[in-house]
Amino acid sequence: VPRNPRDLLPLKDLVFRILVALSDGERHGWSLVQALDEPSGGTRLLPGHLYRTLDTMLDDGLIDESDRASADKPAKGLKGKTGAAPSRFFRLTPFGCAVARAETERLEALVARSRAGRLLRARR
Amino acid sequence: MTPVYRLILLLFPADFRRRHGVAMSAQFDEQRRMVKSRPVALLALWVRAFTDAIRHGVALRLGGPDHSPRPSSLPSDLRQAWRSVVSRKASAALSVGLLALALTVSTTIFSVVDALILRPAPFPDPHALVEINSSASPSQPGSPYMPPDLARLWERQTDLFAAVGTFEQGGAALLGGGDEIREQVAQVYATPGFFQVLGVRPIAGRTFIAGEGEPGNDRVVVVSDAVWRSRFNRDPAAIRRPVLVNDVPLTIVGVMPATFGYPWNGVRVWRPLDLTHPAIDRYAQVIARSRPGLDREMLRQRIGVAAAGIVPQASKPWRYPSATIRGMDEARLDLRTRQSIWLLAGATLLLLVTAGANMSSLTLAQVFTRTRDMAIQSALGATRFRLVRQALAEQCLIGFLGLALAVPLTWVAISAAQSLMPEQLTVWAMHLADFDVRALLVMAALAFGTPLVAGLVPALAGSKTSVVELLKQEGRSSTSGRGSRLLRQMLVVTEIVCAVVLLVVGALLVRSFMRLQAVDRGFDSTRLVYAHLLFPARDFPSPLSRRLFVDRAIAELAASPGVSAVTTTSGMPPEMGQISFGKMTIEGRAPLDTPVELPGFFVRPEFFSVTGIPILQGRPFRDDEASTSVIISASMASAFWPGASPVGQHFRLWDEMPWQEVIGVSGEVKSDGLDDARSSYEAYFPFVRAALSAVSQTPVISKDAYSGMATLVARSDDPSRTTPAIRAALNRIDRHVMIDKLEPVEGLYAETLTQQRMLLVLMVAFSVAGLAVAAVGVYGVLSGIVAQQLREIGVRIMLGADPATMARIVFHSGLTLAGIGAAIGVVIAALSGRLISSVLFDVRATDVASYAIVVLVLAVSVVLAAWRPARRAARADPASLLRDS
Repeated sequence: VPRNPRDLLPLKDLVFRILVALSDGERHGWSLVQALDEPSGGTRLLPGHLYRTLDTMLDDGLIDESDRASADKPAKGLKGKTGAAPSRFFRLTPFGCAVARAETERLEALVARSRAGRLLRARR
Repeated sequence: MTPVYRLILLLFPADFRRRHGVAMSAQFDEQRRMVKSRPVALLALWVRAFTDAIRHGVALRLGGPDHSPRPSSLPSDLRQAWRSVVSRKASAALSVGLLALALTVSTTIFSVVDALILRPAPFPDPHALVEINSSASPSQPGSPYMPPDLARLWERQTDLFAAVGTFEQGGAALLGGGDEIREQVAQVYATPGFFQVLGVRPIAGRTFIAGEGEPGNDRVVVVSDAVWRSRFNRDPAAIRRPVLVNDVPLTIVGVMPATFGYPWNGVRVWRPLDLTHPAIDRYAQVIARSRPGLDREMLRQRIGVAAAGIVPQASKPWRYPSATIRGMDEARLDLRTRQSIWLLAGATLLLLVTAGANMSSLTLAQVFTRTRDMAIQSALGATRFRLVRQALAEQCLIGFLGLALAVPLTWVAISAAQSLMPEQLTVWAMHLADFDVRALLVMAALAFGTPLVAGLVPALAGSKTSVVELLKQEGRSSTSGRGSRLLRQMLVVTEIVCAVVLLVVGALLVRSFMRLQAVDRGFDSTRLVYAHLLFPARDFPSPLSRRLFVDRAIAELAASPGVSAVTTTSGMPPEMGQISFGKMTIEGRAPLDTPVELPGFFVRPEFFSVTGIPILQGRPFRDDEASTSVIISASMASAFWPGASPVGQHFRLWDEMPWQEVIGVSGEVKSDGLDDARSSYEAYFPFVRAALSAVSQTPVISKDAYSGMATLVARSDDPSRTTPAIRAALNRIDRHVMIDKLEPVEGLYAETLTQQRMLLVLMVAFSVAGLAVAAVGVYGVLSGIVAQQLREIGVRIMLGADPATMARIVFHSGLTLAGIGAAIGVVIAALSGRLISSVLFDVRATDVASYAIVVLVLAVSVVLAAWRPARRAARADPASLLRDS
């Protein structure tokens, strides 16, 4: 069903960050956590929140997933497993790409407007 | 994957779990690994993972995937909840009232249970604290008392204990004097080690130091916070100031905090204990703190060995060769008391469930109107999660209102409980029941938990309905809300079950208490007055002065109107007498292995005629009785001389004791209170001064404050009228004598039942409350049914049905509910018989009469509850009903 990417805006923060993190290419769950949660090394973002969000994004067609043996093993390897762990990889769909772009434009416009106003000038 | 996280994952819907469960646990494993070296962060991670699962798992279950960002609507939920609560004033008020009642009762009982049973002793590392008991062998329970020189040997045991301390109960002391108020307070003698063991620091000054207590260095005292507050207004300068104790000025060296009450609450004065003092009838108690790393079991094993090395060193041979330990955290309350308290806690829980079920039922009653609201809202796009959240916000509001009402009520109830609790419970309690943070937390948890649980079922049921269903139901009032009605009926049955269990326990206790009161005391206790006198040392310094007083008192009382005979004795049942214990040896037989406890009374010859205790064999005492004569109770005779007469036989309790000759056998009396189940022995010794020092171990009281004591027993036809006359007569002879106790002997028996009476009153109150709540529930359900079916009933009456039949149908539904509830309740009560039977006296937990009474009471209450709904059904006026529709 063709949809307008703008229907989903504004995106939740986590959704947008996932889209951005996946824009470099597909990732499996743990590497996604680390990318999203850099400052803390990945302990802030909890499984329930992440997978509920991923579930919604899959539902909305923003991302899709593939099961395959991971070439680059998960960062530290899943404990107790030997060899390549079968891992689910998430990647952007074209629609997800469009939504991410639309959100970026929306945010850019917002930032541009705030730059034009007094907000940032006052600080200089 | 950890099993715990697997459990947490169960909060998510199954299909979600299937899709993401493995990945989620893998992620959590990684996260756990990253923080595993930091315990606090690990704990925080677990907590966050749990809340994460609750938040997202429950949201997924209720609302499906999270599609669009939604602003938090907590304020609007609360506003709506408030509007809804206000709109149903009566039922909301009832809910709040029920909740407040349940909260008050449960928090009060919790604070009592917490203070008496749950909380550990208020000392640092309480598990290391033990009492050392003297015992016949390491496997036998011992006695806490031992001679001071043995205590001194224990105090040197540094390889087992980090600290050892000794104390001696000092009985009463007279505090103050001169210009100050003079009051009687409890005092304890203690060694420096006593305070070291307990590890409690004084709030001002210091505790005792080595050497204090020795002659010439014993004029120091540590006082309680209460003394410091009342006499010195918490003035720090009170340290080093003198205070009069038994008219001797002692220097205050320290003040103990208000929370410190060891060995019992109410000790006001601690004085230094001198273990080298050669007094013979002083008995000390030893407490110790075990060395770190030495657990209770290891200590238990090694204490016997240590005793074998220590006891023979004591200067005087001690009849207990071994020793045992008892943890200070081990129950200080006897089994029956603890079981009574747990029984009360169980009853509280039942009351809470009853109240919760009733609240749930009240909420369900609104469910029909609510369903319509919800269905419309849901048709307008609200998710089910949102609807449930709204309904729960309302329950939270009720919880908050109930809490606000219950806090002051509980405060009052706990203060009342403190003053009403029998002294035998509070005196040994290391904590007092108070409304502290723990109690408040429990209360808050119950305040929000109960309505949330009570509201969850109706909320889920209500939020499920679709508009289509609702429209289908509209207009068909007879079937509408059939599910909710069934649910309400189930809730009412639950209430009845709880009420029945409470009632059964109440009824059993009433019958047990009646049996207890009717117990044969062994003599006519209703015609005796008991007076216990203390002689202040200042006014009665010599034995002669005391004897003169007693002789005069006997003469004057015997002459006063209404009194027919008077005697003096060392004690009077049910006061336990002076207990001698040792190994029973009967002349001509091998010594018995088991130690015997023998409550003894020192009596004059006329004792038996005055009290009416019968002499069954042999003879009573004569005026010139030999000091070694003894009269024993029938139970003792049959235990040691089964089938033969003990008269003329000899026995003794320890080797140095002279042989005692049995000259008579007396009738059994209840000397350990009315529930005296062990049918303890009694022994009567002649009231001869020589006998007192040879046989008795004079109890360690009245060491300084009082030079002695005396007990008088007077026979009177009307004790309640004679008692004031006796008090006046005693004061007339010498107003300095202190009348410690003056009351009919029957009053002493009533005192032994304090605890049972307390349990009885509380349980009866609980069962009445439970029954009332259940009756309200029955009333609510039946009026609901009648209101819903009123049109149908009207039509049936119009078609010729008998109004009485309509009423009968209502009664019938009420009694059916009661019948189901009663059946289940009776089974549960019978199954929990073991817990109940431990507090019953001479009544079996399956006592049919009690159950029958309960069923009858229940039936009557249900009929009363059904009365108004039934009348409404019978009076349904078909014409007006049809007009209304």
